[in-house]
Amino acid sequence: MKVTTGQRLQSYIKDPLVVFIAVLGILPLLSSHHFYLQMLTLVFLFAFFSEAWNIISGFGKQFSLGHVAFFGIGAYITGILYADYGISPWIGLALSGVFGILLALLIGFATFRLRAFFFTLSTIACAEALRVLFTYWRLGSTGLGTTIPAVNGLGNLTFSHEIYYTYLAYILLLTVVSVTYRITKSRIGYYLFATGGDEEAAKSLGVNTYRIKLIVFAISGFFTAIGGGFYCMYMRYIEPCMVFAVDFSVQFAVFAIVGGLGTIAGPILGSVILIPLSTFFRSWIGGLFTPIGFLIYGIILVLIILFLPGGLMKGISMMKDKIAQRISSRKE
Amino acid sequence: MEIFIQLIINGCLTGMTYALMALGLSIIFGTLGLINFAHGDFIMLAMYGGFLISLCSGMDPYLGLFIMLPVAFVLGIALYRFLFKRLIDAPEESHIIATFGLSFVFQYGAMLLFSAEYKSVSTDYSANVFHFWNQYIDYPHIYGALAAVILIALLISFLHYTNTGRAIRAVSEQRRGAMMIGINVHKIYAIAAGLGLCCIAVSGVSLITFESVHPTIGPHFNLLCWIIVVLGGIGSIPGTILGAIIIAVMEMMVGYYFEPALTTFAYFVMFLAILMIRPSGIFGVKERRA
Repeated sequence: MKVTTGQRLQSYIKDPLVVFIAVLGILPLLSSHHFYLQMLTLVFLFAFFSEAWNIISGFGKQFSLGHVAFFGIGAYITGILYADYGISPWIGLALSGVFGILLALLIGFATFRLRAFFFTLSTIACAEALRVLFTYWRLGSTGLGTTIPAVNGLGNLTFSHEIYYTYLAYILLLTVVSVTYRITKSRIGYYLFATGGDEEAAKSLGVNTYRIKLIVFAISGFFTAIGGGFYCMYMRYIEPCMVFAVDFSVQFAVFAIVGGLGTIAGPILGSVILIPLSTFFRSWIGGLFTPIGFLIYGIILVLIILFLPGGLMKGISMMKDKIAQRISSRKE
Repeated sequence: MEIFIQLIINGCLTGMTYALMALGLSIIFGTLGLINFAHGDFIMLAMYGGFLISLCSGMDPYLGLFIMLPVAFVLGIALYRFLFKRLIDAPEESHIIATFGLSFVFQYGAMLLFSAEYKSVSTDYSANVFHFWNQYIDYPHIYGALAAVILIALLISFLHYTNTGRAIRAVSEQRRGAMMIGINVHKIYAIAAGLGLCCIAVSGVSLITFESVHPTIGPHFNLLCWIIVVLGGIGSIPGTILGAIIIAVMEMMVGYYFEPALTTFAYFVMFLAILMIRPSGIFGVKERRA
C-alpha cells in the first residue's frame, strides 16, 4: 500500500513529538519581552546542541564529554574570519562545519577501534588541548578575547531584534531534529542502534561499526561546530576559556541525559525544563548560582544514572503504562 | 647540557608522584573495573586536605598523613558502598556519566568551600635546594618522590606477600574465579577502593608541597593519570611507573624548550599517538576488544 502525502501528514500531526516542537515554535510569538526571547533562544540552541550530542552519544552510546571542542572551533572560525577578515559569517559557518567534520574524523580514527572509554577520554583531552592552544595563540587582533562588530543585516548574521535569533535557533533545532529522525529511520540508524546496543554482536552480524561510528560522529561534530559559529555571532564575544569551557560539554550531556538518552524528544525536553529553571535560579540566588548550578547538575547526573537511567522520557512512558493499566483494570 | 640533566632529574622526581596517583587510578580500574573520571578531583580534594591540615595545625603536610590516610581509606570504602557498588555491574557508559557528574560535584563543591583562589603550602624546606655537581634539586620534589617510592614499595609488597593483596590480584584477574574459590569479592572491592584513595592522599599531600591547588585542577590530573595508565599499559605497575616518568620528563621538556602553557596540548598529541600506534601501552597485554 502506498502512503499518500495526506496520510503521512496526518500521521505526523498525531505524533506527540511534532506537536511538541510545533508548540515550541509558537512560543516566541507570545511575548516580545527581551528576557523571555533570550531564554527561548538559549533553550532552542541548547536543545540543538544536546540533540547533536545525542546522535553519537545517545544512539551510538559513544560518550563524548569534550563536545565543546567542536563548539569552540566553530565559534573561533566564524568569529575570527568575520571580525578580523570581514568574511561573511555564512561562509564562516560552512567552514566551521567542515572543520567540525575533520576534527571528528581525527578523534574517530584514533579511538573508534578501541574500548569506548578511550573515545570519551580523547574527546576530553581534545577539548582541553584546544582551549590551551587557543589561549596560547591569542588569535584575533584585540588580544585574548575578540568582540564581533555589530553591523545589522542578514549577510552579517547580526540582527536588531532578538526574535530573529530565536527563530534562527529554532530553524537549527528543526534541522537537527529532522536529520536525526531521518537517521533513525535509515540503514545507518539501524546499524547505529546495533552498535550502541552490543558492539560485538553487531560486528559479528557484519556491521562495520567503525565506519558507522565515524559517520555519525562526523555528523554530530558538523552540527555542533555550526552551532558554535552561530553562538559566537549571537553572543558577539569569544574568548578561549569561554568557548572551550567544559561547562558546555556537561550541559549538552546533562540535558540529553535528563530528558532521555537515545530519544529524539529527550534532549529538547531536558533543555526546555533545565534552562528556564537555571535562569530562574540565577536571577534568584544571583552570582553564587554558577557553582551551585553545576553542583546540582553533577548531582542530577549521578542520581539519574543510579535511579532513572532512561531519563524523563523513560519516566513518562512508565507513567503512561501505569495509567493505562489502571484504566484497564477499572474497566474490568 | 646541565639544564637537560636537570630537567630529566626533575622529571623523574615528579614522575614518581605522578606514578603514585596513576597507581591509585590503576588499582580502582583494574580491580573494580570502574572507569573513574572523578579521579583527578579526588587528588584535588587530597591537596586541599593537606592544605587545610597545615593551615589549621601548622604541621608539615606529610605529618597530616597520619590523619588523612585512615580518612582516605574509610572514604574509599564508603564510596564503594554507596556509589561504586551500584555502578560496577552497570554498563561502562554509566560509569562515565556518573563519575563525570561526581567530578562536577567535587569541583563546584570545592569552589563554594574554598573559593576559586590558588592555594599553596609553604614548609620549612620549600625554598631549600639540594646541590650537587651543578644540579639544583628542591627538597619538596625529593620528599615527594621519597614518599611515593615508599608507598609504592609498600603497595607492591602488600599485593604480593599478603593474602588480602593476593586476593586483590586474583579478583582483578578474574572475578568469577575468585568468587568460586571463596574470596569475598565485595570486601576486596572495598579494600581496593580504600587503597586507591590512600595512594591519592599521599600523592595529593606531596603535590601540595610544590604545586598550588585550585578547584578546577582535577580534570587536568584526571587526564594526566589516564594517559599515564594507558601509556604504561593497563594493569601493569612497572608500566605505570615508567609511563609516569616519561610523561613527567616530557612535561618538563615541553615546558622548558617550547612553552609551559602547551603541556596539556602535548599530552593530547601524545595520547592520540599512543592510541594510534600501540593502544595496549608499553607493558600492556592486547585489549580483548580491539
